[in-house]
Amino acid sequence: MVNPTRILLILSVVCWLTAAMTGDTRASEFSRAGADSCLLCHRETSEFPATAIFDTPHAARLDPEAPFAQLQCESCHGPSEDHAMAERHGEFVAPGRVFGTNSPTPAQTQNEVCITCHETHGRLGWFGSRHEAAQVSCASCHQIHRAQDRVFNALAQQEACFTCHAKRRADTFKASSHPLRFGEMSCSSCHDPHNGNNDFLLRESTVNETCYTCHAEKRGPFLWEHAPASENCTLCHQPHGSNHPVLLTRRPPLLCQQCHSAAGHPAVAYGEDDISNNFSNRFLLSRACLNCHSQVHGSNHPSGATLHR
Amino acid sequence: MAVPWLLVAGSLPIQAADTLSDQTAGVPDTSHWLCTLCPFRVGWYGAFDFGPGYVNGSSNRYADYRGLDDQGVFPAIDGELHYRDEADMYVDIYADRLGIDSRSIRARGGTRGRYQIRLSYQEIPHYRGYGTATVFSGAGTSRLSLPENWQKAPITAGMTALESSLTPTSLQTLRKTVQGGLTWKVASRWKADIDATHETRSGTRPFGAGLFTINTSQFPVPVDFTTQRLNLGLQYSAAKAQLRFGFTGSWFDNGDSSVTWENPFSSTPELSRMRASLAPDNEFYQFSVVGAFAPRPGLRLNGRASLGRMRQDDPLLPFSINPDYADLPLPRDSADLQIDTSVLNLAGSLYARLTSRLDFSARAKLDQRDNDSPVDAWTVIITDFIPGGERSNRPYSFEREQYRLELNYRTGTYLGLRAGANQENYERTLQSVRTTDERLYWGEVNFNRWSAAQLRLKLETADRDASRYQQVDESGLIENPLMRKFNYADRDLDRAILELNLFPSSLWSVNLSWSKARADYSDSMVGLQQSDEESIAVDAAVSLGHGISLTAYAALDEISSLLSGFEQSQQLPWRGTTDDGTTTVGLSISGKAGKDLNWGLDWIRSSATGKIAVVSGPGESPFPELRTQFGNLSASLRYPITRHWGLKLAVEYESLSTSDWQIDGLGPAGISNVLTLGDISPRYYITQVRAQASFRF
Repeated sequence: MVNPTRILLILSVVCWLTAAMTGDTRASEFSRAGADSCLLCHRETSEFPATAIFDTPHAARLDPEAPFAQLQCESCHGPSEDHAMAERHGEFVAPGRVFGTNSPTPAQTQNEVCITCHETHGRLGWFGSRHEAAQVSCASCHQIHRAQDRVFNALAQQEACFTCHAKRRADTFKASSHPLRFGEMSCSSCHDPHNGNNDFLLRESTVNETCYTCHAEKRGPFLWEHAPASENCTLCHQPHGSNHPVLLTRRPPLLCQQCHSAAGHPAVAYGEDDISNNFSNRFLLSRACLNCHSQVHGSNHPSGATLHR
Repeated sequence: MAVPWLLVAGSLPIQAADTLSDQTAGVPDTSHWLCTLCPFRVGWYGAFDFGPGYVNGSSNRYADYRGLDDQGVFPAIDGELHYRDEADMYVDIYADRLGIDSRSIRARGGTRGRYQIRLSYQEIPHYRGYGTATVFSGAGTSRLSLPENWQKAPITAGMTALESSLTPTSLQTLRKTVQGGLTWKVASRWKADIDATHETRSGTRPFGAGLFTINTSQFPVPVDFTTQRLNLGLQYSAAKAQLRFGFTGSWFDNGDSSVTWENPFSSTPELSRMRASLAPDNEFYQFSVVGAFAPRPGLRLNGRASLGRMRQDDPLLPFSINPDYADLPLPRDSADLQIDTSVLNLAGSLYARLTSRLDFSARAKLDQRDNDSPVDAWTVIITDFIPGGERSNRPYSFEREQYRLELNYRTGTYLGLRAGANQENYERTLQSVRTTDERLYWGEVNFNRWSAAQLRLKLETADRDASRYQQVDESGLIENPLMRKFNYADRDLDRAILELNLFPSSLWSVNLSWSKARADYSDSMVGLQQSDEESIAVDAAVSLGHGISLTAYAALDEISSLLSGFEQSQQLPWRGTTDDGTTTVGLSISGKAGKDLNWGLDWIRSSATGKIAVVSGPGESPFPELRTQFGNLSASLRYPITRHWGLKLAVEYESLSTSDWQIDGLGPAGISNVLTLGDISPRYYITQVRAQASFRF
């Protein structure tokens, strides 16, 4: 196994040898006419239209926190006179800050612009979160210049997530999956992409709390608990999609035999021959173990210790 | 191990990385920034799409989550409505699929920067099973009866009235959710929010129960769930500190606390009726505080603390519906169960930008589930039939600690290095092991050269050790002493992730990702031995000019596992293997023809196989392969006829073909001592057409 001490030692040496930090300063001026300078080019019919922003909260005029109540386009894009003037002379100079995935402006710089206003409760855990560390920029997912940001539409939001999490797109077409492809759920039904305080960027503090939001009947507590169900739903379920019914990681009886091997029917090797065996196929076919043990999430019956009732 | 960390930290004093200040070129004179070209909207505007839709077939599986369960014509209605005024008041309303059972409508409005009101309504239909039928009447109620002419028999083959008594039964639930919310800026730095949800779920779901291991029946049980949720929050936001106090409440109510059914198999009179409990009502409350403090740029402390309580106090059923055990006294009349939960991660969620190139973060988290429920001795009657002796309920508690350290180092403009170490400790009560400790180390290289190519390689290795394994009386059965339940077992975990994103030009991009993970439980003699996951995905987007864009993707996914078991009568252990493979390919192309005609074409094909083999000796065969073939082809056209009116046409063809040896060919009587619901593998080929007039204003 990799020796962590060695890795840290190497890292330390690399840090020691690092040159002094380099600044990214750039002299720049604000435009002469604010948004009017920008809209001369960024009209609705242009290659990079920006007019839809006037349908959005960013263009609120009376909200002192909104960009358009401050320095208009340059509240976010920074001083961009050089950009405006160069365009008019058929040249290209990037605006003060360019937002997006493949941008010359570092994601960290882009995000600090957004977080200045948007550090509300969902984003208190942004710094140090997995997305922040991976240098995902806010504009990689959010579309500021659209009347409706795609992340607020359940179907369009998924496309934003699948850009990086491509495997998850395939999961939505598996035999059993949550209803993402119908737009009845979105990734953000369970995940908060800004919140590194919780495991897996979940909205709730634990996996089970997240599941109970929609499946409150599984919360219990039950008189007779099934320990793995109380501890972590993902011990048996694969929430993104599965080849097996009800998002199970494997299908019974093997699913149950991962943990149950008591003498008698739990320990038996149910093989292909048992499909036609009139004695043993009750443990193998249809719902297998769940033909009898339906209460796998816990039972409230005084005689429910074996999760039959 | 502390020495290198000190080297890192000591070498790099915390420096401000004020990346924004370099561009604030003084405050400009904005008096002549008149915004005369700014197209601010005033008044109402929106779009409505309405017209007929037609679906040429019916299938519960096709209708699952979609809501089109009948062949024929349906109203296809969508729309959006907006309002803006000069005082920054706004209203946004979005409506989808209003004519069918998966309808939703969302509305929000208010004054920008002051308050927002939210309202929404959503329906989600869900079907379980396909081709199901039952002999029981009373589906959807808590009392299920057999037909008057029912002939009981010891096995299903002897149930002579079975065929004539079967009635198709759709196992369907409909979830209806109404949400309302308000966010209000109460002062310059204070914001309050309230969100309330009322959700009902009604219908039926499958259930199986019977008489010990002798026989069992499947039948529909009622779903009559109501859940109320309330979230309250009060937030303070300043430049350096943010704080949010929150309350979450959830109240779940089940209209049916039990289900009673008649035993369709031959039985003594005492066992002619049976009863099972259904999900009990429950309550959950949680108070939370979330905070962040940034004393200087590049240094942040984040924290969250929450304390919660789950409670359930439903009246308890008698030990059995069997009159022979009717007088057994219960230790208590109601469940009286309570679990306190707390999640604390305030101890050190520290993020520090040590230099412009090096970030450091540390996080600690404590997650407790403290089950305070009383323990009593219960005189269990197994399946209303066999006295199981006295059993004590086992209120499980656990405590989970997590510690994470992470360094993120950018060597220059194109190379980034990340490394971290995680520690997770579990301490459980009443379970097979008391503690498990897992250490995880990872390293990652990010290469971002020329801004046209991004490469990410991450390697991860983890090692989990469990304390002494012991037998616990969970179900009254003695487990094989060699069994190691996989979540308590010693484990080695290795994972690799490789991602390559290419942006050769602004016109096209290619993303490739590959991941492989192996969890090894080879110290376990019985139970899960190994679990593997490997996936590869390719995604390409091309802009072909003339407004035509194309996206293509493909993903391959393999999940496999190896289990081992041991039968008393056998000399050697048996082995079980599972191997699930999924291949998904898709193509999406859209563009504009002429000046106004927008068109789109999407194609998806996903095929999955599942191979399962359980082998206890030579010459044994694997199970038949599980198969799922899914395809979807859709085309859409949008054409504006006038400034206000347009036309939208959409055609979608979807097919699903599955085979599943666990249910195929069984029918309700396929297992001699299990009366099933007769599920079959779903299969459909359905075309849906929508022709909508589009009105925009």
